[in-house]
Amino acid sequence: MKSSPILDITLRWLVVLLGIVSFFLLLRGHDEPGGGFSGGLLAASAIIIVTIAYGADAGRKLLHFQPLSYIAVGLLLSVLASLFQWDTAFMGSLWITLSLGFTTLKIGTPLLFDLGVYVVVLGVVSSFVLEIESVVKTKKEGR
Amino acid sequence: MVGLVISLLEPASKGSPQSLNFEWIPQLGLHVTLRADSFGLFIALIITVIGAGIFSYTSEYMGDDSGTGSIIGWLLFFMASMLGVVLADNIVLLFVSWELTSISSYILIGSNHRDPEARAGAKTALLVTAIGGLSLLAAVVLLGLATGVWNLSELPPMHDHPWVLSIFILICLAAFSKSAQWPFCFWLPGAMAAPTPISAYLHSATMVKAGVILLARMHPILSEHAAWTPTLVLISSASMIVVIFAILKATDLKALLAHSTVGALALMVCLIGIGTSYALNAMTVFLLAHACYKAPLFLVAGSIDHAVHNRNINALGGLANKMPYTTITACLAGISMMGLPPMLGFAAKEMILEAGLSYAPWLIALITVLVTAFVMVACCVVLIPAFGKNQFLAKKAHESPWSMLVPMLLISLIGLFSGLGLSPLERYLIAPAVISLGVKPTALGLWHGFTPHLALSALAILAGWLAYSKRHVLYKRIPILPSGLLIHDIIWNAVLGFGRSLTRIIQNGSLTSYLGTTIIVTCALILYAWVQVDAPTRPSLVQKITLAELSAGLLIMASSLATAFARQRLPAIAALGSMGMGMTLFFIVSQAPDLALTQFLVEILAVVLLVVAFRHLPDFVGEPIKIQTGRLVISALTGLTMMVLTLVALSTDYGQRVSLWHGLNALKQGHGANVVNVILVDFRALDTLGEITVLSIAALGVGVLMGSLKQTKKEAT
Repeated sequence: MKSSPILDITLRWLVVLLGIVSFFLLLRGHDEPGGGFSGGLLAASAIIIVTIAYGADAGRKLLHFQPLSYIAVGLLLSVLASLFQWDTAFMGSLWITLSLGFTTLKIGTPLLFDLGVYVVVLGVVSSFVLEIESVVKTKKEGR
Repeated sequence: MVGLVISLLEPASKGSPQSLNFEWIPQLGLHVTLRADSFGLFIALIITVIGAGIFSYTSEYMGDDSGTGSIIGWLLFFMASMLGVVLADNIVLLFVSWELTSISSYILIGSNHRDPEARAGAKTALLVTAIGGLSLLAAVVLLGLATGVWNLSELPPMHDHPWVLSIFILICLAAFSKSAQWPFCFWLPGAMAAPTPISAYLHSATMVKAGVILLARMHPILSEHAAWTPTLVLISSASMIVVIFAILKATDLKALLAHSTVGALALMVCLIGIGTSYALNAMTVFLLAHACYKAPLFLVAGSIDHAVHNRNINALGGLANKMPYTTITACLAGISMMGLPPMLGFAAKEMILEAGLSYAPWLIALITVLVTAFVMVACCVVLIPAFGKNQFLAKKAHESPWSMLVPMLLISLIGLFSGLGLSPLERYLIAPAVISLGVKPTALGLWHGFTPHLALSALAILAGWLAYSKRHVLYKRIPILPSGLLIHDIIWNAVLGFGRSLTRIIQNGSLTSYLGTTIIVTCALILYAWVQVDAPTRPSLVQKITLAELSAGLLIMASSLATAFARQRLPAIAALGSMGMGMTLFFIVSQAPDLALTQFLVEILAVVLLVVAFRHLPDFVGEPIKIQTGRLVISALTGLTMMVLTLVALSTDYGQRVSLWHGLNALKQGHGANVVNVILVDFRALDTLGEITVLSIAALGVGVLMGSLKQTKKEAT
């Protein structure tokens, strides 16, 4: 694929921006629209853009780990988050409120659970696009 | 084990059998009730004594084979379940042990699982005995329900109960399939694929006798019924006739022995069928005699197989010098099998002939004589390997080690000594056993004087000798009689064929038909639920629609039409995306920003993925738009169903409970202001966990599919 300077520069910023916004969506999800699912989709769209622009290898490089590892880690995080309140109930939640002076920080096991959802969704959607892209590529080469 | 059984003999012979009872599943009224009566102990003694010999023999016979350990384990398992069959008092326990013997027999026959013949033999044996097992279960349940008694020792005679005929038929099915009677007699020769000591133990000395034992146990309960004697006598006669032909045809040593086992079992069934106290006495003696000669003969066959790796009687001969002790065993057991004095087999055969003679139809007596004659033939054939002229294989032969010789010699010597010492045998074993079957014991004796049955016996031996000397002529003349194997094969092939054609219809490989079926069934279920279950709800067709909702709806309709009629892939995908945008609009209008956000992202990603996947595929320009009626009907049905579903859902008053509760508790218990998110990650987190698991599985599936696609592409290039 021909490289275009406009695309290069835009993408460099866009990928970072998408990553930050997706994480923002994840964190604010508990109180305002957002959450792990939409955050994960947004993060995956960064991978998709890079994949379409530069091919599957670039997408893999950006992802750094195998998509399947993301899926596994995400599932593990979600299950782990469910085990904190094992003595009272499976998936019972636990919240800690930290006071940081200028603001208070709310951290709880549902956040960890949501992080797991985020990572799983990121892994699943990236694996879809990467697999499809590499098949299409081999097919093109085969012709 | 043997000692334990003997120690139990004493109280049992005095008429007060030891019994053991503990609760198994008290909620179902199931108890493990074992009762050591004399007949059970008599069989248990056979099982344990022969079992001890078999264990010694097997470990040597199998040598360093890696499967030896598991075979010994399964043999022990079998021994325990067989003891369960003979000692069980509770009839449910009887059934369970019975099935366990079938299963262990299946595994032991198939222990050489690399041999397709062994697998086929094991499968046939399991299928046939499983039919019997199921009939036994039905019979046991009927018996228990009819009498209200679940213990064998307490069952009353029930010849006038209305269910007695069906119970009788079921018991017969069970006994005949287990004891390989006609028409089930085909599985026993097939089971000879098992290692020889297993054939000796399961398929001649013990397991196949389970059917006979069952009939003997049922004799006091059912024998008054009019069908008892004719059925048993006829079926066993049929088996005997089949056996006579099969014996002449057999060339494999083990198959020959298997056929003669079927004949012996048929004799026992016949004796139970005759049902006089004398016949039952004869049956008991014969059961012991048979175990004492057939097991050693099998072991002899195994020994020969071990030495020269051949069991074909036409290839064997001249082994008497090389294997002297094996030959002695074969002679001892063979003489007992022929029914010559002074072996136990002689006493047994005299009694059988007398019982046969005392029974009115002479035809039966004739068949009995014929069977004895042909058992004689089998016996002479068995001795061919020792004294035959064909000495080719004998050069390589070697005597078996002592751990194999001792058991078979000992067991065959039991046959000799119990023949010589009949009176202690009678006092301690046979008489109590017969009494516990509910009949009077008869005096045993080797010599009864010159009686008609002695003449018959001599006639049988003469006929047997004649048939033996002419057997090569007979071999060519006789036809192979049809057995149940034909029916078994027909049913087996029919089941497989049915399965194949069903698979062809259901798993036809066409994605279109899978989708069509799924959609139609879903719609039908929803419509059924609406009409039948939810009958009172009628959807109110008048709903309030805002302008925004109307425009979103119009957008969706327009873009779906555009998708269906697009002539190129890219516009079709774009139209699909705009349909999703219409959905997003709906969510926004209904004030669900979370759903709208997620839907928005999903729609964009779906369009992007579709473009990535489809951009290299050729367009379908030029292909005329065909309207396929079937698909039109399906999609119309789907649309209608969904409309009904939505309208019904809208017009049903669920109250505000669910959403109200979540709204109230989201901040309080879930520490979150976004109700949707709190539901997703806290209140209904398990559902979400399930969903992300499904997503992961979908990703795996896509990976596998794409991986295989890549593979085929590579191979093609």
